[in-house]
Amino acid sequence: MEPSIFQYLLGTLTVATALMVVLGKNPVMSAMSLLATLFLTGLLYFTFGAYFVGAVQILIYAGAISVLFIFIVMLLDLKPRNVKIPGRKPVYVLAGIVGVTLFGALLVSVLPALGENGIMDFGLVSTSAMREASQLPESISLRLLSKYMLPFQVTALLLLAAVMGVIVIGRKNRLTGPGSDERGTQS
Amino acid sequence: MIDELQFLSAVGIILFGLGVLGFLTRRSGIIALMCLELMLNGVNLCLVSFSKVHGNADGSALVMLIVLVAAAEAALALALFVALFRQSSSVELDDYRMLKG
Repeated sequence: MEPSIFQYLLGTLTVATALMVVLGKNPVMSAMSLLATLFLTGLLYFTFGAYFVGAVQILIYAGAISVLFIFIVMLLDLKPRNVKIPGRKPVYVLAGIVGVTLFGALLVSVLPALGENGIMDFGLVSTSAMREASQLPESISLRLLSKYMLPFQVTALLLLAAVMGVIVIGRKNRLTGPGSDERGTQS
Repeated sequence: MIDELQFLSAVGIILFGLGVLGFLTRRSGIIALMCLELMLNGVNLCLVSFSKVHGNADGSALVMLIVLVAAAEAALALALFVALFRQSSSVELDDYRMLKG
């Protein structure tokens, strides 16, 4: 089935805002573009029938993570910097070549496999009813709570460890020994 | 003509490629983190489209785990950058030379 005009529009807008994240001079502008990208990605999930994933995307990514980014960028009061166009240092040229090659290889290798002929080649026979059912919240949560039970629980431990780590790192008045300077307690 | 799910994974791959390029070329630590989030988003888009192609929910379940890990990673990394900013008043990755010896 071909994508609709609305899906084309959403996809183009997503890529455009992602470009603004990468190329933006001002970190605040980049953070705002990141918020737009994450929100548009959530809308893209909705148009493709993945309602639960889209809701989680908008709630957690657009609602929590990007707000954290905007908050930190504004808290640190970063100065706008010009984008260093790669070309002077050989490291940047190498980085650009690696990035573009990876991107092209992914595009060439993944896209044909998802077409009608490619799916036949891999022996995947999924009806449209199966495709719709795969995105329902109950099928996702059944997987999470049976097949992926261990990763799910480990993620809970990871979140606990992250919370404790953030508290330890972000503490202002850390213990300073007699040899260390007072920079930890200033500002 | 292009298929619906081909389009979804193409958008995901483009987001991933932009994230890789930005992560490798931008020198601001916070913007590098944002590019990391872009890469995770591209992977999520691809996983959802693969999940629909296969007709089972494995990919979408993996997306939930990735979102949780991304939240933990973003919170920790931003706290690290705030702590580093207190020390050297900069988040440029080239300014951190303490580990160079």
